Amino acid sequence: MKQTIQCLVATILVFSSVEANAILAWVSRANCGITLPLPHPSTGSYVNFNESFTWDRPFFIKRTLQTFSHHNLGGYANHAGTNWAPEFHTVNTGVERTWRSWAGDLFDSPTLDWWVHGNHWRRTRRFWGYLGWTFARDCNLGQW
Amino acid sequence: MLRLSFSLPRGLALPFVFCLLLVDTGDTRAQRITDDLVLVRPPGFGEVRPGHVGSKPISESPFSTSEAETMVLDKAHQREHGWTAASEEDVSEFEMFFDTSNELYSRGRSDLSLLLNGLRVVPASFDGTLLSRARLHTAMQIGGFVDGAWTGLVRVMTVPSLGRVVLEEYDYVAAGSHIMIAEEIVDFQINGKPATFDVWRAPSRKSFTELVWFTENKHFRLLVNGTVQPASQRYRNLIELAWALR
Repeated sequence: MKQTIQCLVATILVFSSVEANAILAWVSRANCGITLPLPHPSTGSYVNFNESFTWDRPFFIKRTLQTFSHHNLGGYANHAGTNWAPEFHTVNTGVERTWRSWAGDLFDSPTLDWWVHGNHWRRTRRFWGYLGWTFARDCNLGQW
Repeated sequence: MLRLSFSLPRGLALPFVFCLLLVDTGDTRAQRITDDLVLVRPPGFGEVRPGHVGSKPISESPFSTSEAETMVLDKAHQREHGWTAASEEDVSEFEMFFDTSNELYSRGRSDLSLLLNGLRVVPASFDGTLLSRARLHTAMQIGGFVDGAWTGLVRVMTVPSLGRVVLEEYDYVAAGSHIMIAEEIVDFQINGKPATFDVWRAPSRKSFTELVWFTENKHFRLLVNGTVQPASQRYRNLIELAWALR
């Protein structure tokens, strides 16, 4: 049974930083399989995760971010829904104050070919807007 | 694919095979960029036009009334006194760029050529500018990971006549970004797009200066150690630099 972990974090709108040094990265990863050293009681030792995240990697300083991660089978997730497979779902962090805004599933079926795309959003003390989208069909573990 | 390359004229073989490789991925850029792609917006963020920079009245922003008031008051102080109040912590963040113990140095490179393969953004040339004599401490890929490469780059430098300098550049077109700025805090236009100039100063008087501007495809942020007074020669140098970088 697929278990979805969703980060639904309350909106935090505290602006205490000038955010002048916010160098950010945003990325999606798909079909990432790892074996846990200790088996999970209900899912066993194998974890297959899909994720999109937005983060301040070099400094680990909290920013105001929101990330959506769309997980689909058989194509890009589109508004018309023509590509939506029965397994289509979206994970949403909500607006959060964090150094790593993570939207992901740890237990998407490892036997399926997931297409993952992320929407990444940000506010600063001065700007707001859409950082952009990311897309992945593989894990890119080498990047991290 | 190899067999096909033999059947083609010599000059066409390589491009043809390259095209086949692209098709084989099933993953072309044209296929990916579609207005129909699912895009969920947070409240107050408005319509998205990928690859767009603009400004709107702060009343149309997602900021709360108190946040908006703070932003406008800060900008008024900046314009009247030449600086904006910031915490010691905020200002000390600038120094983190020069702290060799952080990831900017363990993951970054002091030789820019080592990063080029992983970049979608084309680094701005410093030729003929104040930065041409910069000493690069480190550079790192940042931004969105799109089509197997990064859309942003940060360079940490020491520059004669400017001191410690950080330059960030993001290709907001490649990333599909949509950036909005509150009209009330826009200071001037560069390249026909909104630009902001701020000096962030802590109670200890430690400070740094920030200039943000855009080109047709890039979002630049230039940070300089210390206070740059408007109307000073350093200020004019920074504005000239902003117009020159592409």
